[in-house]
Amino acid sequence: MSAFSAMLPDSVASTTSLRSPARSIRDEDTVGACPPWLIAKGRSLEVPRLNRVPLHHCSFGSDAAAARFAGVLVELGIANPADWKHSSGEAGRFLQRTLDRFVCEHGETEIDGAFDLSVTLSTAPHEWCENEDEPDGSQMFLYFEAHSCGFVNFGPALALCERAHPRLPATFARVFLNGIGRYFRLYDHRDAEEHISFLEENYDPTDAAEALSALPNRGAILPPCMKARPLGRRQLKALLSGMALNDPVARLLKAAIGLQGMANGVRLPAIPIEIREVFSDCNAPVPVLLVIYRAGDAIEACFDNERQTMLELTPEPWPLIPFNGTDLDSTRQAFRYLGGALDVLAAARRVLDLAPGWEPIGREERRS
Amino acid sequence: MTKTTHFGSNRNFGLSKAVLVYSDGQEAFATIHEAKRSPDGGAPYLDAGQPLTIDFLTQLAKGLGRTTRCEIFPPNILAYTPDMLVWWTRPQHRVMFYGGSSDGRSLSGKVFPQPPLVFKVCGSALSVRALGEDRRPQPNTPLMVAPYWNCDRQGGRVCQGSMRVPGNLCLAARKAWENAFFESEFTHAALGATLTAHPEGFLGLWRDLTGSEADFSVEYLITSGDSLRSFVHGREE
Repeated sequence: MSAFSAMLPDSVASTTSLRSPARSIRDEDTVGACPPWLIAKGRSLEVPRLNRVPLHHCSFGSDAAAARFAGVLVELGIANPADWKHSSGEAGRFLQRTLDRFVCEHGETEIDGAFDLSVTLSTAPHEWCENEDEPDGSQMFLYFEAHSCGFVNFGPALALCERAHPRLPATFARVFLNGIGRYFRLYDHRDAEEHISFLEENYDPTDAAEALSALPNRGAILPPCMKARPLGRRQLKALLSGMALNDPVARLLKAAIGLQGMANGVRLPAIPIEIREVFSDCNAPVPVLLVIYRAGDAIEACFDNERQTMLELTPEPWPLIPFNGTDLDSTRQAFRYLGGALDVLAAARRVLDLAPGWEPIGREERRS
Repeated sequence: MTKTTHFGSNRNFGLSKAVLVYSDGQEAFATIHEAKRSPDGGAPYLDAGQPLTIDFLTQLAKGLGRTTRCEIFPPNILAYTPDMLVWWTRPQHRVMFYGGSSDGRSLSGKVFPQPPLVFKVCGSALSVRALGEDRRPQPNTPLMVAPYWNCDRQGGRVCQGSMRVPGNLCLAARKAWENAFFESEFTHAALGATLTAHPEGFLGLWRDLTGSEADFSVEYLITSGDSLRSFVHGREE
């Protein structure tokens, strides 16, 4: 810290500099034009410069293991060797660039317009699980965390579908919810039902009779059109084949089927029991999307009630993909899962884009 | 989308602020400056300073891990800072272990009465002293030499050898430190150090105490020259 130049030069220093040789003065010099030994500088402030002060400090406790893992990613074609140069030869930066690139290539921009998520590549299943032992890369994790909950009111989309076929609203909702729900936690009518059941069981029938009677009617959570039996695959195919390509219902359904196909393509890996136990005291993951069917319906009311405590304890990260970063197959598979999860989100965004009334929500407007 | 990578303790820190201290030899004040990149590509410079605030110092201390959680002290805590914990224990009976090749091996694995003790953990270093009385020591209470092998007579510091050292220094870690001390093997005496006033020396003392249900005989303890105050402040010397 001794490399910045001094401020407030004192008179003693000025005195000792009397023996300094004269130096040439450039025309453009104005403030510093007079030789310092003739006129004191006065109490002016100079800007301290940081000559020869290192601007970065890196700690490399696990550098060798991180570099080995980077090598695995290069070998699998997941990482780009050219990034090494741009990462100043630092394995940590290289891994960060690789993750940035990977997420970007899997629809990051689309996803960001509908969901508020983070993706982490780590040697620990969560930041608070990090310990002091330096990892060798054999136990690694990729995981998602939702920071706030996206929102869609499918009421207008259901009405649109119902005009085409009475069983289409339930078909569309099932295809969409099951598709994205394979990977991510949603908050929908099933959560609302569960919450109402929980409240019913926990309210005292005599002391909390008023609260009990104010609970939403479970039978009215879903709009009537959602209670129809969904169409089978063949029936749906036949119905869609009879629609024009640019029919908004056909486009919506095809996008939802695309999402379902994407989600069915990959199955998330099992999480070892010892890792599951780490999260036993955590809250459930924050849902990525709240799906309601009418503004102010029971689902929204239940969500508003539940969200008060959603962050009371640390929410569990989800999905969580454990893998062995020293093993090619395990790493390839993990990034395949990650790519699949990102593709599902991007496909869900494409469905939302076609849902009447849905708009990309600005970060400041998102629901917490 | 936020994308984060963590690989063990690898971190990359960038210079963000600098604290400048001005002094006339008697009084001082400090300012905090942001480090800015020079637009001409030259050496970075420090931006205009702001007076240092208590809030900043609190944040800095937090960032450097020097925070102390608000905790209610158990009655046997004598001193506690973020990097030091001192507590005392009443007389108790404990199993002691001796190295298989040491002169004490015949005593290994037996139960012995223990004197009241004062433990000090400073960072990862453990020091132990004994007490002549079974009551909470005061700052001026003279401390006795802990009559154990592997303990330095001067400061009471324990040579930890293969001891399984607890990883943290919270109040709740006291028991873990005590267990670590008694559950590791005593292997050797500090060179030339007298540890007890027992006429037959260290081994005679513990031989006499083997299996005894009576309390430890404090008359066999010898003074260390430390008071509790000097023992606690020893780390600063």
